[in-house]
Amino acid sequence: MGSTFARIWPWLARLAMAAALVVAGVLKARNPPLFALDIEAYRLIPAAGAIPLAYYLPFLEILAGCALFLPPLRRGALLVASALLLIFTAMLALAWARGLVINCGCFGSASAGASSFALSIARNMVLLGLGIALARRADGSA
Amino acid sequence: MKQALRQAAVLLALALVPAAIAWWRVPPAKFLATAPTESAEASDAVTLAEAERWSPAPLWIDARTQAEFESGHKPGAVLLNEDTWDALLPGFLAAWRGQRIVVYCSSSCAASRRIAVRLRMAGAGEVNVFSGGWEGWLAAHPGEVEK
Repeated sequence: MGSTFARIWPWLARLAMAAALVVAGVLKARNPPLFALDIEAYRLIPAAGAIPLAYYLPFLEILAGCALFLPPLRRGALLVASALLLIFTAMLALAWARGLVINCGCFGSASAGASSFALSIARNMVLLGLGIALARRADGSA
Repeated sequence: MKQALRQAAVLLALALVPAAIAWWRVPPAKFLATAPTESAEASDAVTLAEAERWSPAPLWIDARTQAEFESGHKPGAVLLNEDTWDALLPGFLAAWRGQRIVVYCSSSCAASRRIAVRLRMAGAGEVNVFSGGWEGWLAAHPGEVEK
């Protein structure tokens, strides 16, 4: 039983991270200008920077999510995915601390309501935890 | 770690390709770049006097919160904010007859510009922002408040 879990969990962890990244990426990639608005709403990046970022980030998320299953790129994908999650979480925490009422933009503007920062941060932390566990495991076996 | 960094660099570079294709296929709308902040100098800004001269009269959109709207708004204004965009959009569509739109929120908030951009993206045509906001309206028309 224990060994089955040991065999399966890395796969499940990768699947969870990949699913979140790919879904988030695809939803945002459908309308980059709208995503640019969501980025701009954080008031951390000027609009001139938010626009190129809105075109780039969704595809980076999709690529990193898919590459989590590609052995030649797996470790890089884990690094990119974890870095993205860390940055997103920091942005959410900052917005929360500054009392902004904004849509987090995490999964595009499909749900245009103001997001619950606590929930988004908690989700990111769980995914980040999975990423760190995967990275430690890879370091141990490599 | 070095290996992971190298792979990460490959991914960062690879992502540029679809991003460039997306940019080419759906270029960023001009108004996004020209509307970075809520400022009176922005091209879509309108003064109260200008907007009141327009004929037919514009549709006024209140981009503040529901609570603020309910405690008093410009007579005839329609509530439309980002928090509950999906729920409020039908109300806006019912009120809009294709006339010009003017969005306001509080004088210190940036929501009206964002609502204006969203409306333009949705194809609402000419959308302006009254940056004087709710306070500007009250100053010009004291007591003209609908609840």
